[in-house]
Amino acid sequence: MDLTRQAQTVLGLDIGRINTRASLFGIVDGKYRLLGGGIAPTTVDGDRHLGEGVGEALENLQINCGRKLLRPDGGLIMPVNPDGEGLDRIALTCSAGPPLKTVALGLTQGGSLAAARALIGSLPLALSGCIGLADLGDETLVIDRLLQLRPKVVVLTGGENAGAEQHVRTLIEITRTACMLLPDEIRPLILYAGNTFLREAVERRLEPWSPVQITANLQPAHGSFDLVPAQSILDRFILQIWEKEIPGLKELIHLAGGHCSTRDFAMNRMVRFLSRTSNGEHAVEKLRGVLAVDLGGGSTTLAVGLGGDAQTLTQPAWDFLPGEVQEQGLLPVHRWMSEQVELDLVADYLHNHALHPAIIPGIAMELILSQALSRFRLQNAVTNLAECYPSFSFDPDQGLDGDFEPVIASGAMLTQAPTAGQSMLMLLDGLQPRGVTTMVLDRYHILPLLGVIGETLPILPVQILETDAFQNLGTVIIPVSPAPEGEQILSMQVIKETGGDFSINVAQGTLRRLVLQVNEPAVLVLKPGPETDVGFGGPGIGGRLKVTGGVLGLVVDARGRPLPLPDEEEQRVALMQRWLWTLGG
Amino acid sequence: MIRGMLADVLQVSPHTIIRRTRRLPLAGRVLVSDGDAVRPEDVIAEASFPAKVVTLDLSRGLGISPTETDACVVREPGDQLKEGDLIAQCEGALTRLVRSPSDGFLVDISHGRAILATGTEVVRVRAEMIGFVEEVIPEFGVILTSECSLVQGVWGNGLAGAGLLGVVGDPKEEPVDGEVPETVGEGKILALVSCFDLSGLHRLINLGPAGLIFGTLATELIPTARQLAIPVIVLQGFGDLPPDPVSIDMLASREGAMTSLNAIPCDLYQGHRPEVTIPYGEGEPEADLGLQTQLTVGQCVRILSGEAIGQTGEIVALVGAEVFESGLHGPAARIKLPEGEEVQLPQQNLTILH
Repeated sequence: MDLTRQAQTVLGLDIGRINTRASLFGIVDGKYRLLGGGIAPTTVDGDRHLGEGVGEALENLQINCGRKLLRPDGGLIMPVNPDGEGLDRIALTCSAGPPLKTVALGLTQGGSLAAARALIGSLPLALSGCIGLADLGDETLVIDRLLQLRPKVVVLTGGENAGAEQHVRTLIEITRTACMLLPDEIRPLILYAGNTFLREAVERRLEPWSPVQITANLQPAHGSFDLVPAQSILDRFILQIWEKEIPGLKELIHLAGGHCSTRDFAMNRMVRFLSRTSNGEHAVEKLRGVLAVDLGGGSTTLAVGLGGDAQTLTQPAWDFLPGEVQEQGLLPVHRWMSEQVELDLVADYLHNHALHPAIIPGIAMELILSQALSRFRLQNAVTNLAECYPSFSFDPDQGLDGDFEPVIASGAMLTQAPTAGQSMLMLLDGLQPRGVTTMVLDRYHILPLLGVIGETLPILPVQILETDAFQNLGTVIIPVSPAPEGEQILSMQVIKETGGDFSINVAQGTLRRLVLQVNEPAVLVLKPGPETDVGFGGPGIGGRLKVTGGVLGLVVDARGRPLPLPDEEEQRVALMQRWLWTLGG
Repeated sequence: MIRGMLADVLQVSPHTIIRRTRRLPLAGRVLVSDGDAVRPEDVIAEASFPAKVVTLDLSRGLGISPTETDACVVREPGDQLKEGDLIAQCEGALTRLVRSPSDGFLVDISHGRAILATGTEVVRVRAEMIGFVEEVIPEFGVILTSECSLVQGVWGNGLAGAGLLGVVGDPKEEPVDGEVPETVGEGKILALVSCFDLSGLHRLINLGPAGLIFGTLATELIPTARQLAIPVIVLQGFGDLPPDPVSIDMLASREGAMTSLNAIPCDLYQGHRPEVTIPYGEGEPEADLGLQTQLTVGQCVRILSGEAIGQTGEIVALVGAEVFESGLHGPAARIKLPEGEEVQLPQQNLTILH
């Protein structure tokens, strides 16, 4: 495929565990635009071909965008013909495959193994063993454990560059012995990402026995992670394995000419890109991050970008439901219900939903349950991301620590909620951001695709991000103050270009929606009380801020951190209903 | 005409022919031949590789440095050793020897150390169903076939087994809550409409069944069911769902027949569902629809959500985008319930019973 030729029309295919989405990008008035999208169930099972679901999504796309893409025989029209039919290029993201069983070998739990866990958690890999210095007392036990686990991937790391070598050499020898014993067909990929001074030893000792990839040290110096080179290698490896296991994926990757990635790594790439541009434009003193979250049918992915780096976590959607339904295990979901519902019903719904992850809420109670579950999944994801990355801080009692602008959300429960207010509340309750942020919905689930397309066509994501393919729910001001409920904590002036300025006083414990038309520019003047932090550098510090109106105008979330959810169910439900009502029901 | 979405298929077939692949992840030995009859517990193929490693410090045993050790080694990696076999010998005024501490496989000798595998790790594939070997996949496994009655479920505890089928309770009645007549004997596969309490489950287990089939199971019983030493399959789902006459009637019609349970968890990647198979060969077998197929008018479906959750009905119409009571919208299907009432539901919320 000629990458130097500017592609006019690009087809993005996102193959998820539940749904396959086809999105078409083309040039309109000199700029790239999203021309339309189509969706169909993913056909991934024992005897079906992924192409069936893709074909159905493409047929829907043709109908939705009024453009012919398929030949009568079902093949794609490539490149675009003189009649303007067809497409020039395909990009593909995939999250349809099963996570690969992975073992981490490193030294200290808080050091190299933490980096390995973060790496494994950022991709569709399932951590089945974590072996460290403490296990090296009996090497034979470690070898036997590796033989029993039979991982598809071994992440071998440890040691700072040019640091001590002895223990890492022991890990290399252990891995070597295990690989020697394992039959050819089940030998794992060894990813070496440790002390760079041992690369030669790794090649010499391990390459004769197992496929080996050597990359940058995951933790080149204590406390700093460098995961991208390893993520890139594993991303390719995961797709190679999935190609063998999922009928049809190989052909689709071939069609895409290699412009493909796991959805998680593509999202990571896009968030890194956004976190660079975000700070470039605003030139703020404190680094602002970008947060993207996808509540997919099969997994939850959270990616946080800061200054060009990204921290990503992907976890199965239902891993909190191992079947051990105890009341305690369900309370974190039940507490977010905006109707009084018995725990048993929550348990039944969640377990049946886990059996059939593609179902959608058909009745009001199921919607309430699903939205409660979404809040829990968001909170679970940020909590687990904070455990993986010491530099990312989230405390369920305090909320998200740090400036994230924007927050981009995808996943049907968020993007297809009946009202924008419901989407906004799920995000606010689940993530509990602080300061000022903008909530954006990736309605067509294209953010990861833009990450893949941007590799060879960087202008496309830049131009698409400026379009309404991404729905701005609204800027949210979240003042945090220790003041008691009802006390005024913030004064705020909204200066509109078209006139009609207004001022409000914000009381602790309130949630408010302010009128600002969609895309209407305005300047906010924030004057926090002496103990109120609005993210401008500390308590009492205010300032001016340019914003544009979203679907919900502007939102002021002064409910406090932690969110004051009463223990008593009746009161809690009433409060949640009041919040929902405030944002439009 | 509106095209239906792809939906999961659960087979509830009085007579069909199934083919199931049983395959090792690595090359090994196939222990059955074409045409052999198999039972769930039969090992079809197995592979093994050396394991249970012992490290021998040769340099210490010989009293020399690791670099000097190579010259003293008298065996090679790959050798099979017997207990007491000589591995290394250092000639001198006092000859020093290192012998194998047990039978094993010499994996490697390097850096003055020998690694000996004293046991094996065995990977086995079992039949997990009653059937016949249709085709041998040399070194890896087989394709099994069975002409049978088939009922697929939604949850399994990972085990397999077989026994004579005993159906407990009347599916037309209210769910039976673990009440079991004393006529049920040991070694049977017991099918019940539902089980909602732990004491009922314990009463069942105390009868010594070879396996359990539940239409529905209370969520709090999942951990117990998961840990049982016999296979357990749930056909409909969890919680208080109405009885599914399609599945239970089918099982009731085969009461007393030899039945196998493969309570493997659902794995769409591999094409696995938990399933009950009962060898049966009368009449013309029904076609296998696979794991997913398009919804069409006339199909029998199970409802997975809403007020009618758990009920079965017939698709009478496929409808374009509709707004549901939840406020969400999407393609809908109109379902006629057995009582004649019609309900409209998201197409995603249906499973085809075939």
